[in-house]
Amino acid sequence: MKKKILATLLSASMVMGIVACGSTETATTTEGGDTQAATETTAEAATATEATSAEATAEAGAGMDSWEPFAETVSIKIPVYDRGDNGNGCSDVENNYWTKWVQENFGDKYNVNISYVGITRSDVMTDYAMLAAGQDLPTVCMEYDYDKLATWESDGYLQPYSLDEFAQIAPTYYQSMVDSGNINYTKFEGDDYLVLGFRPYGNTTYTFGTFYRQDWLEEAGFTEYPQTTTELLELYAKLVENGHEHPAGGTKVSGAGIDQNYGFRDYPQDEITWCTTGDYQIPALSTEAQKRFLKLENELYNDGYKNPEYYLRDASEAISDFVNGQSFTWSGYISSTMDTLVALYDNEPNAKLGLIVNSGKFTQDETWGSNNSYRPGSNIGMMIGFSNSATADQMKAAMMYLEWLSQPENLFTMTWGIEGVNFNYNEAGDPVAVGDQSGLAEQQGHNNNVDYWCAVTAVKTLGSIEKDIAAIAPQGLPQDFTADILANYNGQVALYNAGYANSDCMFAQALESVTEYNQTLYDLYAEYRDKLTMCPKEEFDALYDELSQKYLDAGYQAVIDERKQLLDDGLATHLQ
Amino acid sequence: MKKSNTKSMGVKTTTSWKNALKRDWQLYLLLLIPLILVFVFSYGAYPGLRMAFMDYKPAKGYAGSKWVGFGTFQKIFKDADFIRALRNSIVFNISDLLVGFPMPIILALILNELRFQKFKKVSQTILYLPHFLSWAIIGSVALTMFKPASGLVNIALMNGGFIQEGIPFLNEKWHWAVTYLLIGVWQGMGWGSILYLAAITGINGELYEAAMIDGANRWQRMWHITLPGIRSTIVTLLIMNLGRVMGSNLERLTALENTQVKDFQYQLAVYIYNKGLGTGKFSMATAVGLFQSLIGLFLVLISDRIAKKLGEDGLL
Repeated sequence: MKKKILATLLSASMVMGIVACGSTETATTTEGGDTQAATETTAEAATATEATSAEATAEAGAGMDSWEPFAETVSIKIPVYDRGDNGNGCSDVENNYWTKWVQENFGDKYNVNISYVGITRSDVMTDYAMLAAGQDLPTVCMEYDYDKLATWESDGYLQPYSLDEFAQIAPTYYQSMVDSGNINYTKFEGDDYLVLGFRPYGNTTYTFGTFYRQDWLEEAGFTEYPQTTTELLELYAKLVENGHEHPAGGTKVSGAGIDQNYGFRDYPQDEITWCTTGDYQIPALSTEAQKRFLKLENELYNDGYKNPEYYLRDASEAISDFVNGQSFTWSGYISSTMDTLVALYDNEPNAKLGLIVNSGKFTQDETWGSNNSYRPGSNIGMMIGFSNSATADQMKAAMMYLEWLSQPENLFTMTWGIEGVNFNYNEAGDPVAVGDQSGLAEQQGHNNNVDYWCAVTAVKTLGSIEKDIAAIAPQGLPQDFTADILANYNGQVALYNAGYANSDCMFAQALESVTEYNQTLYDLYAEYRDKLTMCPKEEFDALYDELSQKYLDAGYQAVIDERKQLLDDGLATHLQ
Repeated sequence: MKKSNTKSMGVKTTTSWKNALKRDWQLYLLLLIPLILVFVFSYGAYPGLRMAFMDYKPAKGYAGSKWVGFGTFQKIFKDADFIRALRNSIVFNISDLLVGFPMPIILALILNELRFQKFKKVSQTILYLPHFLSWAIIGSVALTMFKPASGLVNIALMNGGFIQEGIPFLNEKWHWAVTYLLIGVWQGMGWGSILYLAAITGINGELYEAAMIDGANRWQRMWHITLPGIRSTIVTLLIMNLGRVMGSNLERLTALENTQVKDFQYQLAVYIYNKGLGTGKFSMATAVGLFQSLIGLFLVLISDRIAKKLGEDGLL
């Protein structure tokens, strides 16, 4: 019964999304509304994303009630992220209890053979390129980044689909797109290419957090986590004095999204700077914000706070450092099953952790120019296109899969698993995931199977932020972080509503310069950022100018120019 | 196979292809296996070379992709990254050849002189082993051994009082170059010596006996009998190695990469992967691959011609 009620709630929250109630929800509604309004306004400006005609033309159909099994077996391939060492949960993402569960509960019923294709999380484009080269693209191509979908469309990976047909086959999913405003972003160059998952609380990043050693902080004489970079550097100095060598740790860059400069910009942002250099897909070397970010890295390195061999170390070593009590902080996605935290408490039973909480009050460090802003997203979760090699039946089967997964009961089971095995109900009647599922035949994938149900919703939701945060709060630990996660969420919402956090600019078409120079610029950035980190302090400014010019000449200027052109042509979203 | 009428001293020395096939059909059947593999995996891929002359989009296939003539080549030759990768590939492959090519020969000569068979076999096994290690493992071992501050070698040297600061084996480009080359030698020399050892066993033992009777010492026997005895093998392998001067090994470069040594580490394999395959630019990857192959073929032909002029059999 409880499950049914929750399933209904889940359904309501997913479909209604932003229409929740209560004090915290008010904030959510406001920001969700803002985002929706923003996207709709943008869509009007962007001629290629000719918005709401779909709403007028498409009529939701009968959905699952009207489905019949295919006369002949239809095979579809669904991508699933393979996170390797950086994930938690079962290791074989392509073949496990839950992939079989989908086959048994959906595939067998409708004569669809579903196979999952592992996509390396840190190397998505290469994996898709290889699959495309082998004429073996999955039936749907999925990614969280709009740029990637635009590139795939431009390279012919995708085929358009009929939104009317989608509305008929997958009315629940379709309605979610309508309700969230994501329906405005289905088009490339006039044709419908994308179906878009929903991202509840999309304007915050509350599911990602940085944990720090509270016991070290107190030992250093601090009562709370530093609010400015100046204070943070004072803390690091104390930590080193207390015998914690290289407390800032450090690893080599492993992707363009690592060095984000949102907390080093001036607010309110300048629209042109925001549009042309404000994303993280191509690191913004040559900008003032990136200069501030790298100058701090330089300081951390030269003052011995950062591991001097950081450029030879990978993410697993950063985890080892934290788990073994050798670094002050560790950042990662928050979920009920957090192996890293479990391992830390196992190794250091007396450790006391804190979670960095956004205060909600905009503060900018006078010396470093840094602040407490962050990168908000939007209502859009997963972006899904249909492979150009998919047959009509395969497309239909893929649409059916999305609709089936959207059904509250199916989404609930994929998310929470089996009662008594993967989750239990608390006193309030809400599911709480079992923290350590290792060894279970029913062990879920990374973050409670997120890489399967992400096609529908980017984060799991029970209808209110309090419940949702309680649901992802790490379990099986000596400390409870629920209140801190909620405080961080509220802080981010306050900052967003005050205009101190802005979603990235989106473009209505693939940018040729990005396709052309993306990899070159990333390679150069990885090289230059380490040179800038390791150079003597007094040489930083001159070296930054020199390398920035080289970076601009190597293609970044072309990217900036093309983005500016699209903004001028009304083919880009505006700063809200 | 042509039927020959040539006869010597009344004995027929050649045979018709039908008779040869009938007599040795089992051998020809065995030959079919590598022949099929070569045709399927080498020649079978040739139609794909047209990608180099197209703006190939894998999802659109050959029919849907546009022909661009030599456009991709022109673009590559103007690309500063390509020039850097080409320069590094040539310099490092020639260095590899200079440092790495003689080592298996020297090793084979040394192993051949070992008289204590058990020690010889153990030594050979130990020397062959690195060949079977993947570059990922070698890279991890290299990191553990040669990190500037926490590497075992530097720690040992510092603890022994030999150095004050860690030697930047992996993070300064010139030191990295030496480390890279020597690790390559270490990984390949044992395996490379097998062919020379096999060639040495083919040398007539009577030559050594005669030389010993004439008073030749071990060094002289090596210089005047062993080395000339394996000269044709050396020349053949040299020609084959020259054909690889334009090539590069992505696994090796990736295993030993870091941002501090990009100036040297950025070679053609990295260029092809990063800017070609990794981003779906298959035309660019194919064009560079074709360029490498053509230069390699040219070098093989030239060196073969030179070898023949010097009186060697050559390769072709």
